[in-house]
This record gives sequence, C-alpha cells and structure tokens, in this order.
Amino acid sequence: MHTSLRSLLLSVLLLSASCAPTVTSSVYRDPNMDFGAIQAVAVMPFQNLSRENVAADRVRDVFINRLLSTGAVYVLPVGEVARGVARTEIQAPATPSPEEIVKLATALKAQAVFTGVVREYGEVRSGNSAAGVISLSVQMMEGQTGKTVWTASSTKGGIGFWDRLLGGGGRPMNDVTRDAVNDVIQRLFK
Amino acid sequence: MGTVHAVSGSPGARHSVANSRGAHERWSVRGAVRALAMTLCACLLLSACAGPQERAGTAAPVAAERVRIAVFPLENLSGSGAPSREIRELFLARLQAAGFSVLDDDSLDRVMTRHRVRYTAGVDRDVALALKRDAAVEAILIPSLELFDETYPPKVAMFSRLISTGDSPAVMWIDGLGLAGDDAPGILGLGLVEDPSILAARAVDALVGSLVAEGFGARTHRADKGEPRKFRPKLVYRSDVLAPEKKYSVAVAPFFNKTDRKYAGEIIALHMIRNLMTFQNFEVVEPGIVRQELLRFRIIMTDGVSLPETETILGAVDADLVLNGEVLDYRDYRGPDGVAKVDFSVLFIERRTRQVVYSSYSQNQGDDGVLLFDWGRVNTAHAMASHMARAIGQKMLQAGQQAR
Repeated sequence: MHTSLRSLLLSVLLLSASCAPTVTSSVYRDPNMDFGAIQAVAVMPFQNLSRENVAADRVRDVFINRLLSTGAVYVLPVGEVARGVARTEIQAPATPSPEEIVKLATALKAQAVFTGVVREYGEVRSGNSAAGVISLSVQMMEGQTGKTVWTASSTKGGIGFWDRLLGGGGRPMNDVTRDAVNDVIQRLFK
Repeated sequence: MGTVHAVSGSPGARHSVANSRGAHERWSVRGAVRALAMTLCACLLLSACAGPQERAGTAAPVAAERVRIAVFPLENLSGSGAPSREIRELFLARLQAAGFSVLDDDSLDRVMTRHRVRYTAGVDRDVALALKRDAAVEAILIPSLELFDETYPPKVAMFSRLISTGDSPAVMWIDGLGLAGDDAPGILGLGLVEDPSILAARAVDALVGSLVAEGFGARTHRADKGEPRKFRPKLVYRSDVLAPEKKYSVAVAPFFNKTDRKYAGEIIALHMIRNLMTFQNFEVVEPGIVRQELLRFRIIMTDGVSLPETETILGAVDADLVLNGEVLDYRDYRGPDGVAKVDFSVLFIERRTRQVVYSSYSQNQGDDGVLLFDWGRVNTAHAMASHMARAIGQKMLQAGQQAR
C-alpha cells in the first residue's frame, strides 16, 4: 500500500515538473571577455521587423543616449559610424558579418560594435484596451575578432491586468521604449 | 426686531444685545470667509480657462533710430499654402511704424537679381556684403512661418531673425511665437480667436515688439528662469569638457527629419538657435553661412555629421561646437481635439577634443502633466519645442551633472 502511494506521488511530481516552462536566460555574456577594456563603441543601425517605419531609428537613438549617459563607454557619433560603414563598404549595416565588424572597428578605432533588432514596436489592442509594446534584442561584437560577446533582449509594455479590467490605454510608447532600453543596458553592466 | 427693543431695556436685554452683536460679527466673519473662498474658487476656475502662452517680447516704445533693414521674403516652413505676401506686408508695416527704415521691394529685387540670390532663408557672406555695399542696409530680417492652420481653432507659429550685414554676418536677434485660437478662452469663451489673420497680426506685433526691445541693444537673457521639469530632456549625456563659464560659438548643421512633417528639421534647428541665443554662453553662427560652407566643401550628410565633416565645418566658420540631431516627431493637431507631439535628439561635438560633449533625447506631448481643466496644456508644437530647446541649453550649462 505504502509503496504504491509513494510511486503515485513520485509520478505526480515528475508529471508536474514536466509541465513547468523551461527557464532560459535572455542574456549571454562571454566569460572570457574583458568588458572593462571597452572604451569606445559604435552602434550600427538597428534592424526593423516592426510595422512602424521609424521604430529602429527611435530605439537606436534612445539606446545611444542611454549608453552615453551611463558614462561607462564613449559612443561614436552616428555620422561617424555612417562614414565608417561607407568606407568599409558594408552592404547591410544592420546585419554585418564578423569580417565586416573587424574592418569597421579598425576604421573607427572602436573596441566593440553593437547591432540590434526591433522585433515589435507599436500599439496592441485587446477588446477596449490598447497599449504600447516593444520587443528588442541587442548584440555586442568584439572589434578585434568580430565575435559576439554579449546579447540581451527585452520586451516591455502590453496590456496588463488593470488595463484589461478597467479598459483605457497603457503607458506611452516612449516610456515603454526607455524602460526596455534601460533593461537591456542594465544587463550589460550586471 | 427684538434687538431694537432691547437697546433701551434691562441688563438682560443688554446681554441679549451683546449676544446678538457677537452673532452678527460671527456671521459677518463667516460671510467674509465665504466670499473669500468663492473669489478664490472663481479665480482658480478662470485661470484654468487660460492655457499657457508662449511669449515673445512685448512691444516696447524704443526708438529704432532709423536703422535700415531689408526684409527677405517669408520662409514658408508650414508645408502648406499660407498668405506669405500678406504676412510679409504686416512685417513691413509694423517695422516702419516702429521707426525702422525698410528697404523698398524694388531696390531689394535689384540687389537680389544683380547678385543672383536664390536662397532667402539664410544670409551668407556674399549676400550680406552686397546688401551693405549696394543698398546701405545695416541688417536683414528673415521671417519664417512654421505653422498656419485655418481650421478652428486657428494656429499660427513663426520665427523671425535679424542678421547683420557686412563682412561677417551674425545673428543679432531671433525670436519666435506659437499661438492657438483657444490658448486663453476666458469666461464664456470670450477670449477665443476664430480668425487666423488676427493671430498672425498678434504674432507679428509681438515679434516686432521684441525686435525693437532687444534687436539692437544688449541681449536680454531670458534663460534665467528654470523650465518646468516636464520639458527637460529624458536622457542626457554631458561631458565634463563643457565648462559652464566658457563662451561657445555653435554652428548648427541640418537636423535629420524622420517625421511626416515637412521641414521639421529646419524648425527644430531654428528652435535650438533661438533658445541657445538666450544664454550668455552661446553665440550661434548664422545658418546661411553654415549652408554656404557645406555647399563649398560639398558635404553631404547621410546619417549625421562625421568627425572630418565636423572639423571642416568648425574650421570654416570658426566655431567651437557643431550641433546636429534628428527629429522623430513634430506634430500639430488640427481642430479642437488632439495633442501636439515633439520628439527629437541633439548631439554637440566639440572641435578641440573631436568628441561628443553633449547628447540628449527629448520627448513631450501637449497634455503632459495635465490633470485638471487643461491646466498647463500646450496647444502648439512650437511652444512645446521652445521649452524643450531651452531646457537643453540649461542642462548643458549645469556643472557637475554628467549623467542622469
């Protein structure tokens, strides 16, 4: 009797454990990278997968300003990055190859290059509720090797419980964007 | 009635008189408090009817001492049709009334034709020299119309700047104003303005008044007052290289316009020029000269200004900082309902260090911080952008605030 009860409990435990979602981190950090050695970085134009035309520009702008305001690294002016891209003849600046990263970093004298993807940006609706939502991921490539040394992603905004219950709109898109960018940058310095 | 009978009566009656006097005094005190409270409520309600107004300098009766001025054609940045000729005529009339000697249109046309002047939204060295030599003009006034919306409530926004003539043209004065018909509705809507030409005339009056008061004298620095917190940039980077006590000369490179609004880049550039000029620490190079140098060196900016371009521009105009940026949203609403939106970022690169010394991102909308009765609501993108630009100047000059 005792044995069958024990085996039943064990099977329930195993079954419920299999129902739990797989928890994976949304951050990757290369353990061999010396992040303290990075002084100047270049931020490439972000890839835009959303329907909003200026989403990538907007997010890149916020990202550059936030990164500069940390005071930890110097971000090269976007015009200088554009000049570097033109000089090194990078065909797709949003998705550069490791070789192109090395060439660009050498031309700009940057220790690292950031690329990013805006996966979602805009308003989502559900019934009477509407709210801004943003989803982005950012990668950092080492300038000497072109290797990805850090990646992070963040999703912010959307319709919450209270929005659904009371209707109305969520937070402004710009606040949500700043939150998501802050979230990503905090993961860089953790 | 009882009180009257008791006046000549017994001590009890006197007591009742005293009581009634006390009651009467209490009532009069209560009445006074009530009246005061009602007045206060009325004042609060009435003040809530008035929106915040952006002010240019008001007309001051200062003699313009017959200064000879040429008024360039109105630069229409509204992106739509506007009564440009009528507004320019208003400027001419008001300037003459203020005592300026205005160069007549025929003489202006002759100089423009002789020197093949096609660009009239700025002044370069050749034009400034030609007007000084050929027409004895001491200054050039460039009016720029940012917005002319005839839909009720009408909205008008404009800038105007005065540039000296001769070898080294410089911006002597610049001001701007954004007005909406429902800025100050007042009691029963008596303050509402339905005619856009009235707003345009008010704007021209205010701008000419400001020119008379400040254009030829010492610059009055209006930037001492702190801007409301809501207009401060949302993200700021400020390098320690920027010294608050030093004087900087700024060259404004074209802003990138990523909005649907035509000329939003030019408009934000004018806002920045206007508001940087209100600080003693900044001198702004006339945009016409920067444009001339960009054309001379064939500089085409694809995505912002690069370091070699910065060096070239700053060397050519002998400035310390180059200002560049992009505009992501600049929106005025039509009709009575809606909200103005402004969203832009700026970047200052220093000549000596070749580094970004200031960078910020600003974003606001007209109803930010508005809780009751539209109190604090800003009806035009012009008025909002002006506050935001001034807040940037203040942030730049704040020592010891590297990052926020």
